[in-house]
Amino acid sequence: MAFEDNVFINCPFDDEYFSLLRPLIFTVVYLGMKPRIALEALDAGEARLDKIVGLIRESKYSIHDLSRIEARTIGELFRLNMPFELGIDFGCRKFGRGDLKNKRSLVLEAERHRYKAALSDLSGMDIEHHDNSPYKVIEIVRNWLKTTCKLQAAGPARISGAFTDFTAANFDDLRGKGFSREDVDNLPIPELIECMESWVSENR
Amino acid sequence: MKKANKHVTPSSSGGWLVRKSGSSRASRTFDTQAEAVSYGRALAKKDGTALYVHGRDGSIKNKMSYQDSTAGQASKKR
Repeated sequence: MAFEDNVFINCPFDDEYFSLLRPLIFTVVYLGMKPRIALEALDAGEARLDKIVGLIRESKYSIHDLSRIEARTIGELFRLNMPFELGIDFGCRKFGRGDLKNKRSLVLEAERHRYKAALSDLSGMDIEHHDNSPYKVIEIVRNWLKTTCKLQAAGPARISGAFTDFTAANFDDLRGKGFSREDVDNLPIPELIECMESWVSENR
Repeated sequence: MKKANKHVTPSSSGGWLVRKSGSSRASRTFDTQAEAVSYGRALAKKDGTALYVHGRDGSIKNKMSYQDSTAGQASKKR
């Protein structure tokens, strides 16, 4: 996997966020880039942080979603993994040598300017808010990759339609292979990426 | 020629839309999912295709298949 094609995705891995993660990953795949995600080597036996540092080092591009860092109930701790990994990525770009100096990052938030209250140091970086909308995630990621990577990119509506077509085709394919409806919904992300890459190579 | 399947999905501007596989544009948009499903089901029956109802996260909530349906041939038989 080439450094120039890799997009490190730093986001939460919970059921609630999957509604945004799936279209985000699909957009990256549809535009011919390679999503790199900490879940991709679950059984490698490698320390989580070492794995993440490796992915950051191997990826020219990165997308960090800070929309889920807040604590929502009294007593719940806020989540620090995403800003921590953003910091590693930023440090890699600042202190790294050679290609690492050319790294580019997109930071996502749920609401406009909300990050300023928690992480005001980010001012001046590429920060976009998605309002927790899957379509807006597609639009933002598509627009950022198009500009940053200088890609020939289809419009957000076409990518969104293709995501819908993929979801239906993948549903039929997996059901035909003995997956239950619940199995389909819970397909591990690395396997989902394989399915997306296969579908896109045949249908784009 | 094989007819395109139909999809009911949330619209980015609110409401629900019906679109055909392979199309970037909606066939029609509706205020409610029920209205969109009703229209999509009629289209799928007429064309002898499947209708997929997607949730807000894109996942498949329901699939109605009319691929073996003869409903689309009804008018030709008269």
